[in-house]
Amino acid sequence: MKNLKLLFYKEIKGSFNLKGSYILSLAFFSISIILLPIGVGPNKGFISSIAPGLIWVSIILTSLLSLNNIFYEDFNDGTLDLYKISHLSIVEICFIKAFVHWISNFLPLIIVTPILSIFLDFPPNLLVYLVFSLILGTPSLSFIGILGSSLTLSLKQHNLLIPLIIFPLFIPILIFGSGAISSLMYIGFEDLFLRQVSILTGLSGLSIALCPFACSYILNVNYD
Amino acid sequence: MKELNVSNLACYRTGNKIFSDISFNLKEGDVCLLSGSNGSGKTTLLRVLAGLIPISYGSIEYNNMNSLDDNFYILGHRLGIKEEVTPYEDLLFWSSIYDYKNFENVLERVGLKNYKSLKCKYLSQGQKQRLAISRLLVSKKSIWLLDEPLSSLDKEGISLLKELIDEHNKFGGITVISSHNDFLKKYDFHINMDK
Repeated sequence: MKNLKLLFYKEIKGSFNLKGSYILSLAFFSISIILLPIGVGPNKGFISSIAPGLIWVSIILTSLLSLNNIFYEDFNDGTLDLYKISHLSIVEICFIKAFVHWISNFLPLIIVTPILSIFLDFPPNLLVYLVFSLILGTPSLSFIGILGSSLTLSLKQHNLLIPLIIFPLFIPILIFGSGAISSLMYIGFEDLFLRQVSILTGLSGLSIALCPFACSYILNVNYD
Repeated sequence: MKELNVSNLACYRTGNKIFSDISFNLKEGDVCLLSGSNGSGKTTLLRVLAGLIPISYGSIEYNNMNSLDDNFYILGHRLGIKEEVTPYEDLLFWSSIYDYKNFENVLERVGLKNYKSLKCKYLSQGQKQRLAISRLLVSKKSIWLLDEPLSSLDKEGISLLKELIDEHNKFGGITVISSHNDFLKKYDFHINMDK
């Protein structure tokens, strides 16, 4: 447990340093959300109706900017070698890496979403539900992301391959994430929202429980 | 007495032989020098010993185990030093991982005491190598696998490393070192990877 804490603090500090990808993620996400209504045009009702989908798609696209760096930098500079030969468990390393990725890349996006949602004319009374669905759904993006990151670790074209590998796995999260908010907006049916959010939570729980083990296995066989 | 037995070790990567028929036996206090031209497989052999690359053939035994288990530390070409951390923070992390108490003495020993608060991006390559050597000390491992450890070190650094290796072996440690330089002068086992 002590080592886990140490690793967490080390990784979180590394993520929020000047080279951290969170600034790029935040900028990309903000620009996407600001530009979308300009591109769509002054149709107030239309942009509002597709806002949940736009927010979720922007979040997923933004995640692609940072997913390739989860292991790549550590692999290249030798840090991953040091982790592997230490007492640290690879499963724990994978868990911490994904968790820190979520904190440093998705949490800032979730925090700014209520502000940016103004540009999409998103109903303010549904903001709590939107943030709630993002908090429950985005962890699965980070935990699935570590699979792609570990699979393409030693490949030169890893930037291109990661989206191809993990995009299909992101589709259910996109469907239930945007679907949950849309069901509230169009039908106003809270029960349907809760059902979709439950599935979203289940997907996150499953990915948190399984992905670190799968990632650890991949790092053991794909480490060369 | 603990022994490191390596027999008929071979490594093939994508069907190409990197090295084969490497056998040696090292006892506590022994030093093994790996020499050979570029691409002869010195780094690969050290990484195979460390378990970072799988063995194609042969075996590694240490203390009746089929690997070096948790008894080694490898100092490789890639130092794993993050630019935004200071030597103090870096060594604090690794000494906590390895349960080493007086890590500040280690910083002093490797000559980084005056640079402990400077971000690693401002350190010279030789100073980064010294930081990597300090991690070797806090790891408290009985087997040291050193891959070209002299790179970037100045004369003072080389004599410090020699001193550290002598101390390590005096207290029963085993050192496997790859080097183009015969700075150690005396070693117990020599493997020429070109042969």
